[in-house]
Formats: sequence, C-alpha cells, structure tokens
Amino acid sequence: MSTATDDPARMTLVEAADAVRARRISSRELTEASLKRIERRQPALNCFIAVDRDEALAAADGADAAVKAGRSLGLLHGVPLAHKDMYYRAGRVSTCGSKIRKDFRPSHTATVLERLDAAGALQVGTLNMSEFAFGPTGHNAHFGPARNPWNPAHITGGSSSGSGSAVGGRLVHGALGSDTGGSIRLPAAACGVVGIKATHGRVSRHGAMGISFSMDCVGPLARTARDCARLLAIIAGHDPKDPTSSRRPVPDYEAATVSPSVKGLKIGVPRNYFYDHATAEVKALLDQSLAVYRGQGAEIVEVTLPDHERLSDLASVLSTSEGATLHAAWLRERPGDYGAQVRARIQVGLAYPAVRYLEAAQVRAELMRRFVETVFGACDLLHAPVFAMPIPTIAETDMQDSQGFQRLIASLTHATRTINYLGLPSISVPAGFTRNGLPTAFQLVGRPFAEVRLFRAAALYEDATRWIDRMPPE
Amino acid sequence: MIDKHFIKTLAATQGVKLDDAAAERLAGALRSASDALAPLSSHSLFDTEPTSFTQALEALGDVDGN
Repeated sequence: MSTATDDPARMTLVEAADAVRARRISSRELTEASLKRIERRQPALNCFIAVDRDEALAAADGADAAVKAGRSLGLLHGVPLAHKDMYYRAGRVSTCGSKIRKDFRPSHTATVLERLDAAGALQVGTLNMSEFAFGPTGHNAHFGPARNPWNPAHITGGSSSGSGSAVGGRLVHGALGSDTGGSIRLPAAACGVVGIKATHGRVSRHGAMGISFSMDCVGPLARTARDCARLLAIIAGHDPKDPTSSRRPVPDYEAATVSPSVKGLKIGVPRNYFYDHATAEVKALLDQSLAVYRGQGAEIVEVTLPDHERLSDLASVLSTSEGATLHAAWLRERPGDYGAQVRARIQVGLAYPAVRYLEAAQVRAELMRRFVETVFGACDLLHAPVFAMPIPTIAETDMQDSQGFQRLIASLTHATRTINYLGLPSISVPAGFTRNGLPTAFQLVGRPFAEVRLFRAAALYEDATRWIDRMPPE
Repeated sequence: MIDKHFIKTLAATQGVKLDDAAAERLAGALRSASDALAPLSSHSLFDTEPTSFTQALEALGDVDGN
C-alpha cells in the first residue's frame, strides 16, 4: 500500500525514489529536506557523527542533471541515505565510533557502498554507533549516546544506534547497520523502523569493520519492509572480495512485499527461551500481532526450540574470541583509549582457550541443523520478541563496566544473539507502542535464505496495522 | 581451577594486564561457556570441520528464498 505524499520527511524510501524518477521531486529538494531535518534534530538525537552537506548537494545536482538528460537511473537514484560509521569509503574518515580510529582513512571502499552508489543513492553523512559496534544500548563514551526519536531520554538500541535514530526520526530514508548479536534488529525495534539481518553470507562484508568473522552481518534499516527489500536486493549477492559471501542468486525481495498474503502460512510461537524475561505488556502486544496474522489466514502453532538455552554462551565464545583477536594489539598498547564497558566486553575473549573456541565453532552446524529441522519442520516462520521489555532510558542503562553490566547486556540481547549463532535470517517489524510511548517489535526468523518469506509476512503485517505511518514527536 | 588467578595468567600470556574485578568477571564467563559446551562437545565432534557451517546453511536453505 502506498502512502505517497509531497512531504519528503513522510516519504518512504521507495516513494522518494519513485518521485525522483517521475520528476515529482528533485534530488536536491529531497536532499535539502533531509539536511534541514538533520540540522533541526541532530542536537536532540545525536545520531550523526559527520554530515557531508556540500558533497551531498553536489551529488544531488548531479543526480538531477542525469534525470534531465534522460540517462538510465538506478533504483535509488538521488535518494539521501546515511550509514553507520564503519563502512569504509576510500580516503574518508571512518571512526568506527571510537577514539582509536578517529582519524582512520581507509584505502578502499566497502562493496555495499559501491553497490548503493551504483544504484544512484547519495550519502549525506556517517552515523553514530556503539564504539567498535560493541553494545546493545547505543551508549558511546566518545561521541555520546544517540537518542531515541520517540523520546530522547530513551536508548536507541545498538550497536547501529545512529541508523535507528536517523531513520526513525525521518532524517534519511534508509541506512546501513550491522548485526553481530542484534545490532540491526535492536535499534530498528527501539526506533520504530524495519531492520533485517539476512542469512550469514548473503551480503558482502568487504570494507566493513569487523567484530566477529563468524557472526557479522551487514543489513539495512528503513521505514518499511519494502524499503528494506529494495536495499537488501541492491547490496546482496556474491562478492569476489568477500570469499564468505554466498553464490546464490538474489531473489526479487521487493516483489514479495506487493500484495502480500500469509494464507496457509504456519507461524511458530516458541514455548521456551524467548519469553523467559518478557513483560506482560510486551507479551500482550506480541499476542495482538499474532492475532493479526491469524485474522489474515495464517495458522499459529507452538514450537519447542532445541538446545536454545546454551546458544547465547556459544555465541559469546565465538564473537568475543574473534573480537579480542582483532583488538589484541590495541588491548595491549592502548587500553585506556577504549570506553570502560567496551574494553571490558572485548577482554572477555581473552578468557576462552582455543579448544573452547573451536568447539563452539564445531557444534554450530549440528545445532543449526537441529534447529532448522525441528522448528521449520513444524512451521514456516518463527515469531519472537526483539526486546522483551519496554525500551529503557539512557540513564537506566548507563552502567559503564560496573557490576551487573554483563547481566544487562545478556538481558537486552537475549532474543537476538542466538539467531546470529545459528546464522539464520531475521527481520524486526514494528508492533505498536508500550505505555511509555516507545515502540516495540517482533522478529520473524526463517530457515536459511528465506528472506522472501520474511519480507512477505512483514509487509502483510504493515499493511494490516499501519504502525509505520506514525511519526515521532518533535 | 578457573579463577581470577588462572584468568590473569591467561591474559598475561597475551600481553594484557587485568585487574581483579575483570579477572573474576572473565572467569565467570569461561565457567558459563564450559558448562554450555560440556554436554554438546562430549560426542561426535572428531570428524567435524568448523567450516561445515556455511555448507550446512546452503544445504538447508530455501530453494528460491520463498
């Protein structure tokens, strides 16, 4: 369903791209509107690390000239985006949200940025993030926390904190995030937008700062499932520069979001693990979302997840061992240049002996196979919380490395991190608001490479509820 | 025994100094991971290559992503 409008801030990414192609709006008008909103909202939201005003306007003028000249236009022609500040662009500073890399200028450009450039997208700046992408809240000791567009006293979720805030605040039409333990889905859920972590290997990671070779995933956040489908279709696919990227062809994700249906679809609700810490309020909202699916012809079935209670620990063994490896030299030589909590989290990887690390990697395939056969033998998609509680405030979660911070992190990533260990695709879908006025969401998890099914079910729910039409207050 | 002294020694072999609180925390993480792995790693891992994970993802994947 389209909600085309002349107000650029209300346009979805697809509506904005279509309006440029149809000459209903120029790229300069879109970009100026984006820059004005950034100027107005950045003091409250702190979602940008850098804004490239002049470069963006020059690129917009180039895009408009191409439209006038009748040149072939890409699917994102002239549309302003911004990305988590960990995607390298040759010669441009990429801080990775850190003090250590505050002046780092990479010599190469990330494949995902090259693909977005080729599709005609503009980049208006770089976005705030948790330091080195460690942290599910959005706190950052060096740049300050990004703030939630629905209430700046509350967290954005992390680590793609600026991506959630900038898209949720309607400052840009879409953004790249990255997800090692929930870092796309958590900010998408907290900021009321859609975010997808695709199957491990679906998107190239060349030129993206790494945390964990085994679990890092690159993906988009945008207002709608259709927006995310378009972005994912552009960035997905094999990349010779990333030997871990899949050679599977990329399906037409966007087509799945047009006139979607869930008739006959079996949606699984987990009997164990995912609702362990869920509040009654969040559970009630998620039950309502299941009722919507049931009303649209889906069958809701209960499923028991095998082995799930162990997966969070195994995910930690992989991600922190690999993270500590990447950071080993700086941990030795510049420990004081990390924020206290980030240093404490990376240090965890120093504790795991190599045999434990390899065991966690060895059992991964078998645990994933067991999960897929058990869960997706009984249903087509798994429906689960993202955050189990209403979105907390920045003050409530500002724990540095004090006692209890590990419990906080484990609690916030309880529903997301295990999916990274399993390598499965998952999309976070806005599902209304809790009493504190902040968004909540559910995630849909599919078998490997089932992104089309995720997009179809997410788009159906959007069309049925239109939560996505709500604008945050200013 | 997995305690702060063990963890401090382990970190020192990697050139990193830890204070007592950090070493206690890391010991807890290692104990928790060991508990999680114990029942899983006691069988059938001998012929398992870690890289089989990506092959398994491909093998179990939807044919058309649908």
